[in-house]
Amino acid sequence: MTGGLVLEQAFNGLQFGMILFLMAVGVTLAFGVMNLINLAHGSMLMLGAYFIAAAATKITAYPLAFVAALMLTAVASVLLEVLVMRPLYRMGHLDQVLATFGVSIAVNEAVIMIWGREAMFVAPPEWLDGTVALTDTISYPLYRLAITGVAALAGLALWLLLARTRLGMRIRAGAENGDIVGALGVNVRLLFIGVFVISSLLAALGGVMLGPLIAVQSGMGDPLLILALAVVVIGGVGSLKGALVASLAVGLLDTFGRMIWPHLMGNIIGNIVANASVYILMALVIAVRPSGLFGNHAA
Amino acid sequence: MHPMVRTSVSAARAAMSAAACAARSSKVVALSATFAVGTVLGLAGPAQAQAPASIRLGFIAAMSGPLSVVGAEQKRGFDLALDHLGGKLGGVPFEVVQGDSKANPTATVQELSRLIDKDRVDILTGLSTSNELVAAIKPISDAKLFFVGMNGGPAVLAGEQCSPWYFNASFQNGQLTAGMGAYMSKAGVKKLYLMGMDYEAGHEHTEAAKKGFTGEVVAHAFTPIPQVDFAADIARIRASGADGVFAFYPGAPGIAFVRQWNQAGLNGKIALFSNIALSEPTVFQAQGKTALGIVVSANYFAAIDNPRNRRFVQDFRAKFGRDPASYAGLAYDSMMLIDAAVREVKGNIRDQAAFRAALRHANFESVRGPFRFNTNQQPIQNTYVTQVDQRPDGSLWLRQVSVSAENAPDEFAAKCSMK
Amino acid sequence: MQPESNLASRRLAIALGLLLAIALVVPLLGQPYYTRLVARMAIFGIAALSLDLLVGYAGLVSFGHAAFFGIGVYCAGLLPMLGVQQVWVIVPVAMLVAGLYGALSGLISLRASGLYFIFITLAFAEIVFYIAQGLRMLGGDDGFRLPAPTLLPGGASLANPVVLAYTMLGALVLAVWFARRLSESHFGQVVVAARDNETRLRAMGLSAYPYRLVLYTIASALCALAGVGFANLVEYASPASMSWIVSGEFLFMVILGSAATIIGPVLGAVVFVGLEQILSALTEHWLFWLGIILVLRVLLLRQGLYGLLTGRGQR
Repeated sequence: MTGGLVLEQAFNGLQFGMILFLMAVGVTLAFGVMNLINLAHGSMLMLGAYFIAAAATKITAYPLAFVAALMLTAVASVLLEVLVMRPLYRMGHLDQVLATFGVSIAVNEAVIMIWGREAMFVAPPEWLDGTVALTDTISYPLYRLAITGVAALAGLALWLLLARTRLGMRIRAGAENGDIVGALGVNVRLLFIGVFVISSLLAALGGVMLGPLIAVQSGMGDPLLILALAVVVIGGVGSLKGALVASLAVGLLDTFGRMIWPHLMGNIIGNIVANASVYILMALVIAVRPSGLFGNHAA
Repeated sequence: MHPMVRTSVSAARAAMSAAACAARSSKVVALSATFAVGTVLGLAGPAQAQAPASIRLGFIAAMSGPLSVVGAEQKRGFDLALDHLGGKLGGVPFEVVQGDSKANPTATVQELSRLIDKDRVDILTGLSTSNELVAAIKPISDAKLFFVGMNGGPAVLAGEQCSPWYFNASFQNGQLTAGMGAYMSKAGVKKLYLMGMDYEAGHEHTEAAKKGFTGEVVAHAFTPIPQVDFAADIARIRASGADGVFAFYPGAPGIAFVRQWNQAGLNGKIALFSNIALSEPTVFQAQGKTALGIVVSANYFAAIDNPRNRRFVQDFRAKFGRDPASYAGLAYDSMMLIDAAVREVKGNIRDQAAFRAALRHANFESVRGPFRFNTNQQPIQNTYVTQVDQRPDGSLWLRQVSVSAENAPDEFAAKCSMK
Repeated sequence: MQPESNLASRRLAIALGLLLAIALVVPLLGQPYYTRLVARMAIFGIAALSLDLLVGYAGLVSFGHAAFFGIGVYCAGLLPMLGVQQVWVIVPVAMLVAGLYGALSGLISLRASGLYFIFITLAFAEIVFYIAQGLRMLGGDDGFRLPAPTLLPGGASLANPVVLAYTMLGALVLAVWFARRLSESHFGQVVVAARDNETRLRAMGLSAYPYRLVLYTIASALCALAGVGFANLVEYASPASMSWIVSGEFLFMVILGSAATIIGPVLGAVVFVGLEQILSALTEHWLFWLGIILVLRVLLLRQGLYGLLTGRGQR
């Protein structure tokens, strides 16, 4: 392994981790504030990708299509919140798992009914099509750097929102202790819609960014959701810091693990370990700290 | 036990079929009320005691679930075959019972039970994935029904577990890729990086690509089935110093791989090879121009030049607005194969020895050109090297570069006990 | 269990009697498709019931129960390769292996609770899934055909749908009886008490952990029994039988019927299997409707099918 390859893989792991972070932060917010386990979160990522694909056929300017896709997701998420999610907040985890699983398979099928079974096309904006030189010999796709950048910006914006605004203060209060919010005289209903929309938008942002990179297809968000859930559990439910640390750890572990494990253990066992590494990490973390790395309350 | 019961109740069953057609509205394609009525009337004649007056054909494919892209394309080819057959299979009226395998092997078995035990089909065709096939061949063989496979079959079904009831009308996995090794050497590749999805077909295709390659294989890597981000793998390819890559990725991962390959700026720097699973008409829309220049091996592609294929492709384009993918072409062929075999036995498919012989003759004009069956009932056929190219209107198509194997069998026939 | 009104329990008894009668008669009709459907329902009934022990009685929402089902499937597929076909070897071995994995993973999983428990069980199931998928000698992701079916004493083969249906129905009735006994026992009372108020249990000097671990082991072993049946039903084994989607389906069956009722989840399994058959025959977009039904079940039919039958459906 050369230094250049290690550097490039570190960039890849970082980028993968940031996409996971966009997903995980939404999961952890919804759980922290509304006590909601949302298995339909992967569908929001998928909707983001479908919306930019659909918008790009009508709107040629990429920034406009980008905004349109996020706005459409916001509308969809408000509808979803009002129709399905709101009654779920007060229900048990089992009900939530099932209802949101139901939403997820219904939405996955709905995009097939609307856009067909074959994958959609999304082009990256031309000004992001190209590569930058990392070292003398290694060039890196500009678009991937942009993904890392946008995800980092979104994370920063979220941090500012939570740390510096009144809304953020309420959300944090809710994430720490759901009962407090009502006691503060906050309009809980609006707060919940706000949190749900923000968490959906973060997932959709991931989908919009991934659109030109992977296949825009029904169910595309589900594998990422499962990983994001693992990230949340590893980091500690409700903890934003935990989500960030665990996302980057999982991103890097996955990227480097695929090179290292088969090398150390041979192809068959190495591949099994590489595929299951996130889950093995999760089991190890829970064995030592039953509420995750940064979790401070039993969920 | 099955065929006995089937023969004895065939008259009653055929008589019921018209009513059954009407009742099972959405799933049974009643080709024409006239045929159904003809069926009932035809029963009166004693001559019909042997040959069934109407044939029930079971068509099962992944119509829902993650791999339904394949099933939907097979259905398009199948539907066009229905159009061209004009309501008769080998001169006999027939009806279609459709099943959904859901790309899930255990659901496949359940659905097969419906087609075989409840709807009592006479012949089966379809199936979309190799794990469906592994699960399906046992119950089909137990029921003593002939099954014509529309999509690639795994090595185990061509060899040790070959079945007299299974005719593979598409390709044996490795067969599709055989010849690419030699081609890549000829194209000047010295250091080859092999990679594929980590399941049986992925192993078979990449193994086959290695054969006949004279240079150095610098890596033989596999990625897990759900993986769609290949940045880390592309970095390793670049670091390996390979000047050629063979990558087996069907469906969504294939779309992702090709786009990311392009974005990494490797187009034109490292040659990319695969088989038709990586880049074909069902993924052209999603891959767009990033697919240009990829070299893939194929046993069927739209530009194959023969009269039967010209008609098929022309009608397919008129109906669906683009070139047929190989899934459609092979589904169409499967139907034409069955049509020819039924005609050869004059509709008397209950004489199973004669019908098997007729299927083995494969006396039909294939859209892919020459076609016959080997002793293991897998195809002996040509494979071609094709390249993704662009028409003046911007649409993509597969252009033939060369013939990579002529009348070639698969390599597992010797392991099959059928002779 | 809550005392039920006479009328409600009579209605339930009639419904169950009818269902069992139908299940017993169907295999006699000589229609293998329906016989297999009965076997399938009984198999999933056992699986759902075993999950209900965890979800309903102990409040442990496991999202990885398919792992134990899959272990049963693989044992039924692997043992014939060693020349073992007898049901009295295969079932105990399958239950032992699944129970062992349940106990070992439970040691860690049960330290977690709530959301953490849901996803740690998923993690342990995914680990088994990836091991099965990585076993290339067993066909990897393609899986493998069962080399030979499981045999009952006397030589009857479970590959025969009639034999399989009656065997699994018998096993289901036994499982229901066993689960009822278990839930009414002192052991069962402690588990339920731990679900409802763990603090109080601790005040009484009892730790819930060992009780839960034993229950988790029992439920895991019971699910493997269903897996052995399933392997014989489809005569095939593959990682698909232990994917997280199957775990989700088990949960759906439990809650569709209503958790902590034992009979409810069995009904849930029956309806789920039927629903899947009917919906997918009606439209290729059946998944859309299945999703909608799931949501409606949670939002509207609060007490599940069991509540519907016993008249406890109203909130």
